[in-house]
Amino acid sequence: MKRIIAFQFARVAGWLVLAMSVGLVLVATVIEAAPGPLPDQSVWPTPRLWGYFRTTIAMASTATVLALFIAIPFTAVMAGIRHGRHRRVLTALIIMPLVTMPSIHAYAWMLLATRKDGMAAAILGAIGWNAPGAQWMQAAVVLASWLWPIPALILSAAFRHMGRQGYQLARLDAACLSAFLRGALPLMRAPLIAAVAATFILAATDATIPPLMGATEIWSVEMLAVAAAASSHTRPIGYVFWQAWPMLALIITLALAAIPGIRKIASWGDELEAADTGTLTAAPGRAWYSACVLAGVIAFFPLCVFLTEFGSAREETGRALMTAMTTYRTHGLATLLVAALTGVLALAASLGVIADSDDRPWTRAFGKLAFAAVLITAILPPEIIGTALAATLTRICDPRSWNIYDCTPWAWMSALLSRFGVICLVVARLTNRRVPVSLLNHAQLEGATVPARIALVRLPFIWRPIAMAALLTACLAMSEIGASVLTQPVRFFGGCLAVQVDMQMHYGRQSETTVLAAIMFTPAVVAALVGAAWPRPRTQA
Amino acid sequence: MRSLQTLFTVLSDGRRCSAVFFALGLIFLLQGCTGTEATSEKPSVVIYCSVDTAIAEPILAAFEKRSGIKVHAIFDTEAGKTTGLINRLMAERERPRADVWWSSEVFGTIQLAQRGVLAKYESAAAADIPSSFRDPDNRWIAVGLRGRVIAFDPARIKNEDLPRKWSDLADPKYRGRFQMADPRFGTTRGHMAVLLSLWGQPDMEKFFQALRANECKLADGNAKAVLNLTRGLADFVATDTDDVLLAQARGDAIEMIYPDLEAPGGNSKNSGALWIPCSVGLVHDSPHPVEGGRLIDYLISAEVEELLFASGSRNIPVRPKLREKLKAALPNQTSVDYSAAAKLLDLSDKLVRDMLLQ
Repeated sequence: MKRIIAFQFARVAGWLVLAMSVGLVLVATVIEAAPGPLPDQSVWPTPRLWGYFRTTIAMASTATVLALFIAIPFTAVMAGIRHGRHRRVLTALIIMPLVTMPSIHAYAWMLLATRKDGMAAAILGAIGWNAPGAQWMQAAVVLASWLWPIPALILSAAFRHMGRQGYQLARLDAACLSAFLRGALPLMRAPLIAAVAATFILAATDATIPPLMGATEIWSVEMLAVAAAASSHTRPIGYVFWQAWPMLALIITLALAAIPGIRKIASWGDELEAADTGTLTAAPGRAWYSACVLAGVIAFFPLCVFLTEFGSAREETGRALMTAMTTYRTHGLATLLVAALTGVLALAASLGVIADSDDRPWTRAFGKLAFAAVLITAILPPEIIGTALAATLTRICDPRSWNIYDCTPWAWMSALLSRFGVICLVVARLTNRRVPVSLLNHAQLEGATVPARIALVRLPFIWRPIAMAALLTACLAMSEIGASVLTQPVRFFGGCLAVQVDMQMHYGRQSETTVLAAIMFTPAVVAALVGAAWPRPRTQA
Repeated sequence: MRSLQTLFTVLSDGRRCSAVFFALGLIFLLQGCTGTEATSEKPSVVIYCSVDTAIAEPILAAFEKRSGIKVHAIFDTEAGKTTGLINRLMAERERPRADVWWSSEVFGTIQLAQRGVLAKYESAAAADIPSSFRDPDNRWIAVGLRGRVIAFDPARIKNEDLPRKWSDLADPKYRGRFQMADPRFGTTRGHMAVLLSLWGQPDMEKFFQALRANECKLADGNAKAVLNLTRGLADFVATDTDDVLLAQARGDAIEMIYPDLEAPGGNSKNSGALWIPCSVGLVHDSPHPVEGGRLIDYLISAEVEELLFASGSRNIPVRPKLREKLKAALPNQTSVDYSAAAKLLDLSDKLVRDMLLQ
């Protein structure tokens, strides 16, 4: 009984969290964007903006293709792994680049590209890495090294449920990779589209890697200038919205194209899971070891670059570490606390969208509405999210007394939840659909109410994936910059560390920045360790 | 893993769940209360700062220690230059939370003053600051100069091949060889507005068209332009002195010159190098004007100018006597009407959009 009451309480708390964060952003955006463009604003982008649009599409497409190119061999290896622990170790290594702050990838490449001598300089010089005009290509490479886990994870999950039979047939007369490409991949078209769409969307909207790699003629970078111009207008959010609409339209189209793939993922049963990852304990082959080494090299590449930067200058590194710790300690602690709380809030919010088929109509409707709202805010430019929260909460909160905007990180966490909360909510809704119907029916026959069914039958099944998604949300929240700079509380004990690190990275090679970047690598390692230790999902009640 | 499991179990259990949310609220309350006058005797001040954190933090810490006033600082990103915080100041203008605005340049600050975001504040500490670095209406004060320079790699560029005036960059011989930061942001934005104020619109339009014809590339900030120079992506770049000094300190073999502001036809109202100061202003209707005023007094003091000069940024003091004392050279100095240039920022932005970026 207590657990049922607790669930009801947490569910209402989740709704409140969503209403006060995502709801606030959405309402402010609709109010300012609905009246249409500003009087002096042209809805049709200028030829220059169209040029940026084309470059961005080229960059994001290249990054997506490269990400797939890296991901597919790993997926093929994952397909052959029979032991749960081996799968988890490889999965953890694959996840690492994604949960590493994107600027860190770019900074590592920047350090390599600006080396005067050594093997790296020779190789990069030989391939023309620093050739003028190739910056968007470099950005695409770095974006791919950050985002390739997305197609790898989606495709490896899809394989277990959709591609295995085709793969096994093709394997009769083909090598492993060839069998995967010819036998399995054609059967996984919908998840493949979802993976491509997700990778493309993240590559096209990232505003941290392209500027660090020197690619400035990019849509997301241009949005900074748009946001600057917007501040002098009466409806700044409306101004940014009506400048950003072509990219928003493209993203929405891609998101719609991804829906069938996501639905497919949601409809997967658990019956195959046991056969795939259950009790078989085949020894790992050479492919597994090779994949682990390769994934490890990609994952730890930035850290290796930073360590080689430190070199033998132990004294200087020590001094840089002390300076970094002294200057940025409070920012680091504040960011860690805010990221952790964002993860907890994302957990609570995910309870708000978990519904049962026999739930009250308004409850289900609210869950769907909240889910749609989170999906929409996730694709909004961070400048819109930050401005919406700052402008709205400023009007409500009096700076001369204690208030939620200045004295707590609520606005900051709301911005982070608006950007990354979608991960937890998607996972919650997808896993919620995978709870065995027989168990729910059984509970219903025994007279369990709807809250009881959710709290006692559904939650035990779905808490692990949601908690993992919350951890991922917290990791991503640590590296957010665009909305954080607009919503950091003025009377909190520290600010956003990612903002500080990003600021320093643009100055190039500095010992303190390299130390900071290495420190910022820690959450990814922690996430990977948790991922590796994560137990196999429960398949039976 | 176990802790996450515990967390979820806690969220699914009655009293524990309430306790978690109560604890979260308590964390907010405790963190929030530190520094608010509503609950604490300690006075405080909020500063929005676009000066580099590594330079600003020790200065603000010294003020805290000396005055006993707690400083809450919010910093901007390098990618956004002062954009993020200016956006925030504008978003909050109905009920400002910041008391002090400290910018790494002066033009955006003057524009904020013109938009009514900054209040009048007459500081005794500004008495020895030359009038060209103070607003006649006392809404902003400028200290700590950085020069606008052209940086180059002496190994690749001969001295006689360098542009001596900014207008020389229109010469076709520099085609594909020059980079600068996006002129809609930061000091480069102010630089273009100064050229516009000195040269007039027709010459400026021709200059932008020539830069475009010369395939001038735009970098993401001055520091990035210098990095591109060291990577060989450009032969020379327009930047600020501090970025060059920083690059030299880390061992990059680059040099700089101070080009002249003289107009293309040589009929300039002014000539000499451009020096851009940092600027400070009190936010209009700020929550803590008294504490804000004290912080401004400190930030514009000769002591802070000395600290800025001693920092990696090596900002040159605006106080002539202090320059003499520190033996700080101000090469090719000229006096510039920053306010006149700031009034042309919007027009300069439009010309950049229409002529250079189109």
